[in-house]
Amino acid sequence: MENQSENRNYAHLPDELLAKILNRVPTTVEKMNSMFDIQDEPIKQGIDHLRNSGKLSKLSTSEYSTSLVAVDGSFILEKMTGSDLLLAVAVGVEGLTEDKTKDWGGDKNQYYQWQTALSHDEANARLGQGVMFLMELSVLANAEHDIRIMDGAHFTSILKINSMLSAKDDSVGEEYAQALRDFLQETYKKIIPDIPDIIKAAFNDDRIIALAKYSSSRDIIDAFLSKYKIKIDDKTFFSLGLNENEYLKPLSVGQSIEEKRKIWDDLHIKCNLEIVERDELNQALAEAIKPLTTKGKESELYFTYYKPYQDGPAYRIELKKSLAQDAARLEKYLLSIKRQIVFPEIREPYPQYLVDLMAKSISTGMFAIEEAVKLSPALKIDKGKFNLLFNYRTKL
Amino acid sequence: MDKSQKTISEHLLDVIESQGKNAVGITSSPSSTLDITIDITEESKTERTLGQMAYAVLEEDGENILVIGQIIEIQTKNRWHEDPSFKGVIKRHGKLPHLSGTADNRIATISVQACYNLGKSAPESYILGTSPSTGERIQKMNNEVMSALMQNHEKDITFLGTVYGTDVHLPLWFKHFDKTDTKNNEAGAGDAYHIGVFGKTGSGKTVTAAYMLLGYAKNKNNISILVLDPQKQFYTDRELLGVKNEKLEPRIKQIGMNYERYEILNDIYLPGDKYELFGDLLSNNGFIEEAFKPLYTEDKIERMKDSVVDYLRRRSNKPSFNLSSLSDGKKLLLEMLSRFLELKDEEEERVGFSKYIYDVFGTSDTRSRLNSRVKFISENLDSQHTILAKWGAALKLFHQQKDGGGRKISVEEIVDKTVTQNGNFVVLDISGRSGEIENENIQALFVKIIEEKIVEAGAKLYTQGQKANCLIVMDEAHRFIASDSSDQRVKELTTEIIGSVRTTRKYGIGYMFITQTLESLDEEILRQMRIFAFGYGLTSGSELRKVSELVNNDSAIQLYRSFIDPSSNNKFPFMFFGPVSPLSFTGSPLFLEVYTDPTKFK
Repeated sequence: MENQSENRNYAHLPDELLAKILNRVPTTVEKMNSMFDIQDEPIKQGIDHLRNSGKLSKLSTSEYSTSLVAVDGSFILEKMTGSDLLLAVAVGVEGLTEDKTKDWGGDKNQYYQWQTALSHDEANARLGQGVMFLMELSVLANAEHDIRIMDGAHFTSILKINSMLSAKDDSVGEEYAQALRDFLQETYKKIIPDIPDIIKAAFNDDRIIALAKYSSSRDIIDAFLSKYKIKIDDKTFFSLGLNENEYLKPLSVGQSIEEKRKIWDDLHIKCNLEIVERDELNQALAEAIKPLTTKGKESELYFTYYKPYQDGPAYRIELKKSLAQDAARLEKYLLSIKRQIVFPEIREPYPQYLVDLMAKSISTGMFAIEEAVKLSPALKIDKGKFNLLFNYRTKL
Repeated sequence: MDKSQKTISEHLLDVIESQGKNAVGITSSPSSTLDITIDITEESKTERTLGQMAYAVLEEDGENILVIGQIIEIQTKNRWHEDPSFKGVIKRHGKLPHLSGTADNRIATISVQACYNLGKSAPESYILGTSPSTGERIQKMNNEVMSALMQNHEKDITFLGTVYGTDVHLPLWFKHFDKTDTKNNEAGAGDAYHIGVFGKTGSGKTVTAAYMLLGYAKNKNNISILVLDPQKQFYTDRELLGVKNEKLEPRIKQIGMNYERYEILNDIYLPGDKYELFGDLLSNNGFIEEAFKPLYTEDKIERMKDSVVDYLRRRSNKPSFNLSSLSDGKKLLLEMLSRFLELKDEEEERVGFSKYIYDVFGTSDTRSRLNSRVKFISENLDSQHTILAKWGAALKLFHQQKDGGGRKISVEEIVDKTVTQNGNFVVLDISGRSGEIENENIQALFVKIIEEKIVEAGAKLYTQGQKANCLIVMDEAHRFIASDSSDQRVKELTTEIIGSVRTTRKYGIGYMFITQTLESLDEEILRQMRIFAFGYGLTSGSELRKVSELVNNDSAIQLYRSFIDPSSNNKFPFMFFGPVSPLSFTGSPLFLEVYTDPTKFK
């Protein structure tokens, strides 16, 4: 009888592949152990240092607010032959509250949504993401709630809006700029030069804070604890080192030379699109983000790490200077956040977790758009082109 | 177009149009031609929906198709409440702000009952050829739409209840078992149906059965009905229609049927040539044991009974002898006892005992003892009051004359009224009476005789190319049909009835079994049934399994399980299954609440 295992010329997929992946698990575990085990002592020394130098504080307030929202966005780009479908949304949801006095009526939209079809272009992703962040900032700025949580970091918004406006790097043409104009017009009745206003409205409001799920920043370790040879990031460091309800007294971003140089000194949004308003726009953009930069001054954007539960993680929270310097209000914010964390089931503030799920539901929306476009009797594409234009992709 | 010129279908569409756009739900996915998933609309989300009859007008092959069904399942879905992470939030905060309640979706299942093509002048029965599209409006049925739909069936339909949980009158039809009689406007099914009405005590099964019989009685020119009533409930006509002052008899008569009722022990005489039956009665009422004591064992009692039957059968060779025409019962007893003592042939001379004594015992001593006892009784018969009373009581069942004068009716006549004639509604009280003869064994005996005669008469008609077209109703049927009964007589009767149920459908004889449990009825009987009415209470594991096997619709079973004990709210829910309504031709069960006010019956 022929030996099948020796003679086969095709792997048993995915079984063999999966078996190999699982076989590697012990090695991966070992590596994770090596990362943390040897760090116990430096972390303790580092935390003690911060504690002894008065940089840490313990939450003592009993005041909190349930008027709290979190905002998140989602963007999907469906690539088709010759054209792309773009769909972006930004939504805000409230936290655990019985307060029904705050609403989202009128112009204070709880969500924004934008969809379009563009000729296929690598830069389309820049446009979609930038639009999504602009919409997130708008939802945050328009809400009436005491505390409004931005998903991620302020820096990310700047990065993505800058990417959107500097798409000439990808040689975009007039269609791109027109799509941006259309978005601003349809969504806000605004024009491109109004973008700085959208940014300022969010960046100048101290009720808007940012809370990052992940952060690789080593600003604190690099600035104050370099002698302890701590190899992990600030967030992990504070997660392992802080006690329950302990937090870092807010500091302005860019404490370490490394981070200052890498991010904050040259923070910019610069438009290079071929539009007539470009110079005027760039001037306004520079003014809008100037408070955040660190060149020759301290940034007005502050950050803290706060650990609400002993067995839970510490959260990196970015906040405005006015809030950072008002200890009573800051503690009220921190306690408000703690009350929204349903630990251990959900490891982030409830509205942030919920809004993430809500925003991710957008994928269903893209399928719906695609189907509706395909089925629309108004679609004037002959049968021969139809199958070519609409992409095939496995959908789970 | 003038309204009077409109066809029934056009009028129905107008009525549906006039109901407005309020939808209870929207057709959703997945749906089939038999089960339609619907998403309940926001405005209907807090309304009672389960059990509701609903309809939609769909388009198929360019025609308007009216699809009617009952909402047999409803579910609340809230994706946020299903997320394990959110369980922790609910645990601590009681609910999810803005999501609990608000983000609920209710998804219901409609079991399609019937479809009508409204493209014809009158709605025509239709089977969906494709599953419904999503996004179609589903509206709640109401009496206005139902009336417009049933306009063409008005003369054939019976109303005995409302759609479960609603005030919509549910049309049912109870067709006779022959072809449709156009002359008298009586719809026929063309075939006999066996029917089962089930439910625990207090479920309303007798009232439901009585209403169904009123429905069948509307076929007075084609059908006769015989009710075998072991509990006197039909005979006494007590609260058969659910209320004290309403009786079945006047309603049957009002419909135009001839109503008669008889007590088997007083009004009917047994066939005079049924000596085995007479022997059974004597054995049953204790005559054999008392007259020929001591007999000690059942076997000896049986042998002694055989001797009595043997004697009577030999007597019957004389043409004049017949238990029904006997003038002096005591004389017959004396003659029998005398013969037991006589030695008439060589063999009896040789063994020293008559064969009637000889066959009972095995030893000379015991035979002599029996001989002495017979001799004693024979010589002192006048003083043997108990023995005389028991003999007389059994014999009386064969007498053609009533005690107080008047003539009894024969079993054959009863059967003739039922099987051969039409328009008779006969109630037969087969309950025993207190005193000499009373138990289910005797009831079984009577039922067996009636059964035999019915089959005989049905077969005779069949050979003549006619159909019996009659309905035999067995109340408390489990008393007579139980293969596992310890009573031999009931076992025999069960076999008899199973055979009869199997064969008599082709004669046009249908049976209605009214009983408390499904389990008590033989499997074969259940297999032969076409129409089922399940009242409250068949919810024990094995009972429910049987109901599930019969109905084969999980959602319907869930709805059936949700029935509330009628004693708590005086509502009598039933699940009907089978060809019992113009709305049930897909074979899906129908759910209704039987009227508690008989004046609503029509």
